[in-house]
Amino acid sequence: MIDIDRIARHSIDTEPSADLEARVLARLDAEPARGRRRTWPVWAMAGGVMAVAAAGLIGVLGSGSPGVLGSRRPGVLGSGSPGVLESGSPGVLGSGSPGVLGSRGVPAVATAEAGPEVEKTAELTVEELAWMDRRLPALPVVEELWVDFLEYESIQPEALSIAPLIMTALPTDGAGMERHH
Amino acid sequence: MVVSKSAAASPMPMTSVDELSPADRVLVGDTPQIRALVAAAREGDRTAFDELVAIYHRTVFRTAMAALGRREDAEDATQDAFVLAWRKVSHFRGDSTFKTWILTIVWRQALDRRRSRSRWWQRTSSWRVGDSAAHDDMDRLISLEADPERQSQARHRIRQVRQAMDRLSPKLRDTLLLAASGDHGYSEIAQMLRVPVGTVKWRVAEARRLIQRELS
Repeated sequence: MIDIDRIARHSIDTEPSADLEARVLARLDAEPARGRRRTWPVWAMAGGVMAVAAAGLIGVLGSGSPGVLGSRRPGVLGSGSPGVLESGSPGVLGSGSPGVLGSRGVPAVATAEAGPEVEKTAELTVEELAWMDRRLPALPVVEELWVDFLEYESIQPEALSIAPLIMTALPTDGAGMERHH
Repeated sequence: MVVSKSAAASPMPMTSVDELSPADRVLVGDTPQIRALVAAAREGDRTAFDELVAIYHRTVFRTAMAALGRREDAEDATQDAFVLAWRKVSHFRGDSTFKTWILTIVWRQALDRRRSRSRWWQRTSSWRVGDSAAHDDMDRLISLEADPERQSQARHRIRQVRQAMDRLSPKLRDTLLLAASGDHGYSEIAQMLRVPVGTVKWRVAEARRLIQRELS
């Protein structure tokens, strides 16, 4: 007796068309040529662009040009005094001074430029050096702010007292009323 | 076609695929020969991939037939599967055999095609009894019986079984056809269908039980 599996197998045990393989290969020929994907040139280019951009950013931050945080030039945020944004030390926003926005303990971007900066300082004029050596008075020490504990009396309103409402009786005999025709 | 065209991709000795019979080709599996072809194809070697097409296109086609039941659709799914495999072969990591990988691709292609067909059940029902290839197979089975009376019984029996198969749920019927094809082991079917092996075994047994119940 023919069993179920044999019938099932013969349901799909069909040979494909003789040209199926050729058609598959023709479809593959129509596909664009494909090699192993090599994406490293793209990544290399992107990495190069990013490296150049990072180097440029570092150069701008550490160049000492006016108007930039971390400037070594007078008239900007840098002053060399405690209590203010300072320059002349490694770090983007300045560091090395207590109580300032600094980067103590954090590797600063412009650290590598500390050496050249010393040479630049030596080239400054006497006026400039004097300006850089000036000392501004330290800011007064501000004690911590405290807010006294607020005490207030009870806000409970007093009890309301309402006097009894007394009404006089109204006459009902019609007296005092006039009839109009 | 000769596999040795891709010999440069592997130091392993190559033999001609033409020396293999069609039945043996599907049993090659991921031998060193296949692995060398796959490695070369991953590097973009079209000749190596063409060899893989030559080896597996029949198995891929029969797998698509199990899902679609119509020769034309199965051949279209086969072509789509190989094109997709060529695009993706560089990502083939070898977690499974190449055969299982390509069969999984064609199975997904076939299922997508089956879902997109409107009123698939009606078409399938008409195929099960009307497709010329199915008739040829039926005649082949019936011819095994010498006695005319037994041939008539066999014809009736085959028609009953096919009608019972048509009434199975797609999951049971697909699994039964894949298992009965002889091209795949249970573990391979499990990977293709993304179900545990135990589920495959249960589906096959349940499909047989339901068909037997209808026949009795």
